[in-house]
Amino acid sequence: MSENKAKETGVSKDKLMVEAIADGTVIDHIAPGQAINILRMFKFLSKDNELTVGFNLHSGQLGKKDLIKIANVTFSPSQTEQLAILAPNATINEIKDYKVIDKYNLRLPRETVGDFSCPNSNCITHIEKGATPRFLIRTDKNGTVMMRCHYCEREFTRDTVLKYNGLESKD
Amino acid sequence: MTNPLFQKDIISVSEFTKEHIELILKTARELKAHPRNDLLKDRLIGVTFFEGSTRTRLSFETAIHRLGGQVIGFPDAANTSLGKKGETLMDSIRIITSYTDALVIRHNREGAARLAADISPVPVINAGDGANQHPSQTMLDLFSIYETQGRLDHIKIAFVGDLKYGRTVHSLAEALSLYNAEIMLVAPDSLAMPQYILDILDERGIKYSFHSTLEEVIPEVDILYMTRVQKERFDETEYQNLRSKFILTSSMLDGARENMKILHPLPRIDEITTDVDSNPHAYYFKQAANGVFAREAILALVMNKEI
Repeated sequence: MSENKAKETGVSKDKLMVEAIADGTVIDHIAPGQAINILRMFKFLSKDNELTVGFNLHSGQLGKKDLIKIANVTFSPSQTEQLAILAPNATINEIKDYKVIDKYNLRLPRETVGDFSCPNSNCITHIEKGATPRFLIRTDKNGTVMMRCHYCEREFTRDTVLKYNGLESKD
Repeated sequence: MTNPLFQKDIISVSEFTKEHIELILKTARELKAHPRNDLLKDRLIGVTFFEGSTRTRLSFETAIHRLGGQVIGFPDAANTSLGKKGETLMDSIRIITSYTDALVIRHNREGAARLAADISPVPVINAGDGANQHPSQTMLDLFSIYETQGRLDHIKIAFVGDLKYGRTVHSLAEALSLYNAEIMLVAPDSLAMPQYILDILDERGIKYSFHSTLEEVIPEVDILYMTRVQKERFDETEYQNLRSKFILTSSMLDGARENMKILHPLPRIDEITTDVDSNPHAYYFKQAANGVFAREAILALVMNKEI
């Protein structure tokens, strides 16, 4: 794709290191190393969709960043919230006919339902299948993202919850 | 005017405002002075102890009977469908709450009471969920502090013993932080107050300090809140060493303030020697008796629009 074509499509030159997608989503400005957790969380590797992942790409803002392009997938509001817990500084670009039709920054949700298990081994959610794990989310005075279990009321750092769930925070 | 606790679940102290606390304590005082046997008339309360706790259960059942209500329930889960046939807690709660006007629940898992409240059509009162919350215990502690000190504001209190696993201490510290308490903490390093409680105290600007012996705090405080250091958490040598620091004897109380009272959530094992029982500073048995009035107040407010 020429530079002119890139301008037409709204996709800048530095994003052309990988093949453009016709329809789908580009998750940009992911902290380096975090893309693999996003793939794992959304099970992108087990889908048939065309998928391009960039690790440690040059980024003016972050120095380095990861990037995911996935064809024919758009994120629902609740998926966007899930994604925000893993990559709170990422940008979502929704692509249609090679054009960016929507672009927005992620924002931490106030609550997450059913996405993560509670790290407290004595929490009721570990024995009651009908109890869907829920966390209230806040940022404390030091800027640390804290997640409080709706049921057992224990509060954990986001990193503790992610680690317990086999994911790792890199932000 | 409808009282703010009418038909509300009572799950966690962290949800209480000062208005709620003061309403419960005022009601407990009134019910202690002027017993009422009509406030739960024609009401059936489920008292479901999925984990045994004799004192708490009998205290709730006494409160219900004294208010004129009736009780169904069980003292432990061993002989229930949940214990014997593997029924889920949620199914048990759905059935029991279809029979009753309110549910009192105790469970060894943290969050069980919240789960019950989420699915119950009738109010749920938490009688202890694992290491998490035990709000009626906090109310009886506050009631005892008010009765002995005539106020809740600016209480100087020392918490002694197991401050790590002791939920009564966590909840009481959180509640007293609404009243500008000054808190002294006496615990071995391995049983220190959790950071998240200290964070709450910091956020609310509450003064607290760390101490290594009982002698340091006894002359300073209005309330000495003792807890049990569980022997099984230590090896024998370490436990014997701790005994000398965290066991209260009558002779240690000579320098205490006249108004100072000793509280303990009970059961007491050997952290308060029996010679303290007759000391005028001892209040723990009266505190346990106050449990009935605090629970009467909670039940009465939850089940009656106006009292």
